[in-house]
Amino acid sequence: MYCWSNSEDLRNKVKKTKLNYFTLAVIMNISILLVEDEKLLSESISQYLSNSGIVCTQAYTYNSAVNKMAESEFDCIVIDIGLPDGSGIDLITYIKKKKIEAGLIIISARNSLDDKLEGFTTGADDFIVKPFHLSELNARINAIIRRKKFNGKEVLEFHEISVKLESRAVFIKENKINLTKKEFDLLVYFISNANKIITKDAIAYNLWKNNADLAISSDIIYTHIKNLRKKLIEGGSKDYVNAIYGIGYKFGE
Amino acid sequence: MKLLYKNIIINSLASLLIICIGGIITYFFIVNKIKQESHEHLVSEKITVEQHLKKGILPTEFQNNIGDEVIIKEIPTLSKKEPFFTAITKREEANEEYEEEEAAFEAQAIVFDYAVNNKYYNITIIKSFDNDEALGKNILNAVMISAILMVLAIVFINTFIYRRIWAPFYFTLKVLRHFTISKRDTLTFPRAKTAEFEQLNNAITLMAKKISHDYLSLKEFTENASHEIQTPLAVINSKIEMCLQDTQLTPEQAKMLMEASYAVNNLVNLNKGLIILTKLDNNQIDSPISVNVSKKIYNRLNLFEDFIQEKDIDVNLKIDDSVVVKIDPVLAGILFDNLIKNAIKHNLPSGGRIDIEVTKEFIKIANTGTQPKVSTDKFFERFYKEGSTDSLGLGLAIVKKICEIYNYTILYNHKDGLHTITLNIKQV
Repeated sequence: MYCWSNSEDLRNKVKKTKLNYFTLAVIMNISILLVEDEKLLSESISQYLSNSGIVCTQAYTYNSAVNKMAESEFDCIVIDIGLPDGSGIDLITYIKKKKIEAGLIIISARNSLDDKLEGFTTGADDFIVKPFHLSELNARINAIIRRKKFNGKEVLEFHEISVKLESRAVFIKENKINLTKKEFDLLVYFISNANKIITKDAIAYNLWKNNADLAISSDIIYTHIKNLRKKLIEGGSKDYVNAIYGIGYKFGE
Repeated sequence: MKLLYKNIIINSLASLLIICIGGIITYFFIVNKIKQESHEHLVSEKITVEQHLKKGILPTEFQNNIGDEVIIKEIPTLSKKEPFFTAITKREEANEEYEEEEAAFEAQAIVFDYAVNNKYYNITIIKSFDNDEALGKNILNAVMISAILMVLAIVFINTFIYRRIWAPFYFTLKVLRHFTISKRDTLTFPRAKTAEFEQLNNAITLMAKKISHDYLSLKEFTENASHEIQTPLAVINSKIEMCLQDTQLTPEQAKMLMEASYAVNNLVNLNKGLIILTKLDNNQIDSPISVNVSKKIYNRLNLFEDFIQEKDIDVNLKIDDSVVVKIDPVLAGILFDNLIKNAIKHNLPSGGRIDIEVTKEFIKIANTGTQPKVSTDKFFERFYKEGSTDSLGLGLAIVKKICEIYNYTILYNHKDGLHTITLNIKQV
């Protein structure tokens, strides 16, 4: 069970009703608008996010995105820069002009710096370069929604593990454990993609970004996961880290 | 060879040849003229001699009245021969007083028979000579003087032409030399007074426009192609990731999917490297700012800390904190990233060493590692891979390209198990 909780109420409600992760997201009413013209990619993203309980509305063009925004509200809008009938940047300008309160993530095939700067200056919250790992996009969407909804003061919970994002403290029940920066990031990434199979590459990219290639060619990921797992178990948690042979890892029961 | 020198040499040679031929022709023309005049003179002398003989004056008496040498022989009968001109070789004795050497020359003579008072004479009148040799010398002198004058004139005129008339051409050349297509320069020339240069400038301007246009569309195409590849790659990646979520996967299927994913990732990284190289090739870089080398290096080392610890690498730093280079900060990041990444990647599996030395003159990064297998010149070539295949072989090619842009010389050497890359950062 995985939840964001900023209030005791909600947390209790979740615990009492034993809501699973999926229904929780529905209760939280997390919905995103995905503006991506490549239908195959949009389909994959939408499917992956839906499995995480996020309601995903797809728009393939600038105009349909504008229409969808008029129809309903979204917590987060994921925008591809290159759209058939306009630029994603223009869409962001439009969103800002209409004062639509939503997290904004830009997807771009361009990794040139100018695009990045332009995107941020017009008010995007995050920028992700194609091709990306679905787990990475999922983690980024989660991070933005958490930031928007709870101002980062929320506690990320997974069964007996609770992660205080602002103070970067990790508790297992009431027992505080000390994690290194990378181990902490890894845990957040795992919880964000709980019960999903995550490849080694995706982990490497999440932790080391552009230097992921160096991580993939070494045993460093394994070392960090081994240490995190050891600390969690020593702190009194169940062993949630499952190695999936030849693929990667799955965090969950 | 410079056009000027070529012009001067060709013109001079041609002029000298023409002057020589002219000299020879003049010589023969003059000689011929002299001969003609001599003949006319001899004919009039003949008449004088005949008149004298007719009057009965003895040859010995009128000999002195005539300036020329006359030889009169009495002959028994008249030959039927017409009077004819001939050339007689005469010898002049050496004359010490006038410092004249002994010389032979040809003198013109007329030979005729004459009958008077039943006496028959064979008469030869030899024209007293003008020195032919002196004439030749004079002509030679004249030719030489005119040749020298001619060459001087050629040098002068050509230099003048070179300076003045060719000036627009050299200006065009200068403009072309400074023309960089990637900077999107437009060529502008002042109006040239010479029609040909004006045509040349127009043709060049037109060509440059066309090249710029082609270059831009090609660049756009390359860039777009590289970027367009990203979307299908993202689709492939996402589909593989979705497949991997399937709990029904057999280990064989999972293995194949991972292999596909690995290949796609390589393609992704390759494309990223190529995009950077294309950008560098096209000089699409920001203007340089002052970048503190030590800060950049410390910053990168921080990022790589995990990997340095993982391989238990001993890092030795000898860094002058005040060293500043003028460089595009993003490129500086890529440069040090690649250098340090390279030093970690190709280090010993464990317990290796990285030495970094930064001075105002150079940046030196050395790492322990195995002996390179092939020629070290190839290290900086695109797609060169040493041993391991998980490296794409673009890292050092990018380093080299960045160094080329900023005129840093880059040196690699391997000694005592230490690979050293030295960048000479003294910008000139």
